[in-house]
Amino acid sequence: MNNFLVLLKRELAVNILDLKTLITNLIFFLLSVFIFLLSFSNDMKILQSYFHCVIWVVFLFNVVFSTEQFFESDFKDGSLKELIATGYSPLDVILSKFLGVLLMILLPILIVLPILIYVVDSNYFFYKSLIKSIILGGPSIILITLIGQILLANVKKNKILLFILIVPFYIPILIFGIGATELEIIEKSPDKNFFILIGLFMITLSISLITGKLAMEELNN
Amino acid sequence: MFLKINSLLIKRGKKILIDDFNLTIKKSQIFIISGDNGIGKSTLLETIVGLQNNYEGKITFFQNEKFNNKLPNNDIFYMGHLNALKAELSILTNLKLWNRINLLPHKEEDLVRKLSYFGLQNLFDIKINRLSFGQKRKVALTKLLLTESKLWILDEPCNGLDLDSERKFMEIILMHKKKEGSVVFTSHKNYNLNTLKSIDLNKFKPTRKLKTNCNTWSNL
Repeated sequence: MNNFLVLLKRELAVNILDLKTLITNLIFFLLSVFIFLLSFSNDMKILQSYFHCVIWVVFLFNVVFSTEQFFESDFKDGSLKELIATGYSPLDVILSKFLGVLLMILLPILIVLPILIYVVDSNYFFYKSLIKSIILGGPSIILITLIGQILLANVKKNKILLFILIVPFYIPILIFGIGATELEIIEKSPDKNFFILIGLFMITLSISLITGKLAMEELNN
Repeated sequence: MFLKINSLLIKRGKKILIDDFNLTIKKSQIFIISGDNGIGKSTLLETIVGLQNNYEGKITFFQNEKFNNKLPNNDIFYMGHLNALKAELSILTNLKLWNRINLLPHKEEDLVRKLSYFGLQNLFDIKINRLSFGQKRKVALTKLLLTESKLWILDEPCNGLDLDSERKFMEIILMHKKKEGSVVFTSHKNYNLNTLKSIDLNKFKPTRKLKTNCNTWSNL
């Protein structure tokens, strides 16, 4: 546990000190949402009905692009080898990176999300489930992306493989995540979707840890 | 005994890279591993520290000797051919992070003082991406002055270093030897020093081939 906390502190320190990338990620998220919404329509009703879908899709892309700095940079500069050689287990490394992304990518998005919601629709009530679904579905998206990054760390060209590899795993989370807000809009309880998202996270977590550990062992061979 | 390697066979894919490699390192010993490019020097060091698992044979660390360390590998200091430095962070921040990861007690003043050994004390707040190749290596080598590990495993530590820094590096490892520590490092240079033992990896080139099961088209 102590080792894990040391790694988590390192992860946060590296990414907080390198604020440039973090701010770029957040600006990318905000700009993408605005451009997406502007391209839809100037009718507020249409915007409101598609807003949660836009947030989910942009969030997904943001995670794919920003997790690169968490794993690939460590792999390229030799830090990952140093960590493993020092005696940290691959599981600790994966979990610290996962929590690092959670705190450095998901948390800022959750902080700016209410502002975005206010810009589109002052009726905050409908979007309570959007925030909840991102909190519950986001960790699964992050884990899947992180494992994809580990699997493809050695691939120099054809980074598009990452999308092909992980997109099928995103789909159930997207369906139930977006579905939760849809249910809230038609005044039905979205709780079932939330439970499914929690279940999906549990499955993703257990499979990702095993896959990630094996992938990291294969990384140097 | 710090390290004992018995009948080590290292594979790369389906090929044998190094065959029947034996090595025993006791305290106060320095080994230089040399060999042609691509012979497997880095792979050998990575296998020793546990980064590669495509091998057969036995690798034993610290037989009959135990040190009180918090991390499992804290008695071994490994430095790969990459410097493991974060390009966007300053020299001092990089060393602070490394210090924290290795659970070492050094304070900021200590770190700056150690940087002066390679003449980097005035550059401590400069970002790594602004340094030259040799300067980056010097920052990585400063870790040698901070580590408390007994066995150092270094992959081409003198890569990119000027002659004066190379001499300083040799002084560090000789000092470590005096403190009953041991060093294994790879190099292409010949150091004519009696205290250094050299291993030529070319002698461990495989003479046999692995038996493959012809159960796939690629094996056929």
